[in-house]
Amino acid sequence: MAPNLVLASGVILALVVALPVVFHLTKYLGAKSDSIRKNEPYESGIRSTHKDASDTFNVKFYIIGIIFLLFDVEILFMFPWAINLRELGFFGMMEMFVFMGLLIAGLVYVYKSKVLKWT
Amino acid sequence: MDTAFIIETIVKIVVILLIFSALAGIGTYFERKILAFMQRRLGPMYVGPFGLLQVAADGVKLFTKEDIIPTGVVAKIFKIAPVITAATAFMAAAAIPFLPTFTVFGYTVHPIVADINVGVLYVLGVMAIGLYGPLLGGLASANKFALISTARAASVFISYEVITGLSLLAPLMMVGSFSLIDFNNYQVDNGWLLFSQPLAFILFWIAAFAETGRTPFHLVANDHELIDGFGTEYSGMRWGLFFIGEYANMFFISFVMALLFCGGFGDGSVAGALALLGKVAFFFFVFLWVRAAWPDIRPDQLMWLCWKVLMPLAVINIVITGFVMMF
Repeated sequence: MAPNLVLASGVILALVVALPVVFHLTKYLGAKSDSIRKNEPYESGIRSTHKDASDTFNVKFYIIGIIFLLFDVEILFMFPWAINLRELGFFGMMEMFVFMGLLIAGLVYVYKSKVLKWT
Repeated sequence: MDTAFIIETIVKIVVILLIFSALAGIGTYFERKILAFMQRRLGPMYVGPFGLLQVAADGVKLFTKEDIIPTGVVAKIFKIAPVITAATAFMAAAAIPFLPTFTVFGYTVHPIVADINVGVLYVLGVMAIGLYGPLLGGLASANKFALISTARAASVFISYEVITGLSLLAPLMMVGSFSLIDFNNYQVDNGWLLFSQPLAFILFWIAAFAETGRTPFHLVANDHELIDGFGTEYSGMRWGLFFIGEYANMFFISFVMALLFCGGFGDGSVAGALALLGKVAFFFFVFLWVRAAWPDIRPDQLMWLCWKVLMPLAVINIVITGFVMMF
């Protein structure tokens, strides 16, 4: 690990995490008001219909998450291959293209199973 | 680690932090002015000469606005989400060479905090972690607009992660290194990658719009549908952190595009350094130009574009590049 990278990231993190102190200072600046209605979640002016922070939503988002996981891990395999391509030569390249063929087969399966169709 | 090294690193990162926080503010001024001129308006013009002090006025407003934690939110996660966006944006900057190495008063300055050999991976990886800001912020606020925005943000960001990775593979095959400095030096000898890899450049550029959540893909906080998306419940400086993170990301991705595809700072002369800044300014301007010229697309069109158009194109580009390199 590069020590300066760790140090720099640490400094950024420390500075940004220290920012809540600044937020507390803003309490003493500017106007303030307090009422039950004011602290409600925004809902175009009517009373909120939505009490909880967590709720269910369309399962398609979850499926996209799974597809992403599959393809992104495959792409991560390809990064070390890409920078060493000149040493690996033609055979190494074709090996990875076979692997990419499997990736494309997976993509075709995704198309066929219609998970990307939003009707 | 000696003391001089630690001090140098800390000074560099603090300078980057201050410059790009300020640039985020000035960037909003330019955004409002450019959008206004393109729509035949005047934009900000009352505060200071040409409205230049509008940035300072907005800053004062952000700092003095009451910090509201609404009822029903998960307070801890709600508070930490904007911090993640801002922190990851600036952490990514640690591996970007902003200028070529130069000498001031006999002291050589390397305008890169950490010249690591996996620079490209580090920058893109840390930027990808920035997704947790919108994700946690939206899930923690008890607001349906924020929730929809979060679901969209997650699907857009992760889909275009795949495009970023695939489009970068072809240039990586040609250069054979992850270091942004090596990319720059390769282009000094062999010409810009923009000309040898035009398709990869266009794919990366489209993905950059999605990764920063800019207009044709601005579904995350699509104003007329979702109010301010995941930022609806935020006020004051907490919202400001989301904002600074977004604009800093725009500048950093412009730097990455200029370094990866458009020759970077060339041979490291003064002209090369100015050319790099010019390219970054151009890319930033295009972000604003597209916002003025283009309507937002629907979320399903976005997924269609990513998985059915851009991804096959990126794979074809890799195969062609491979065969051209071998024969």
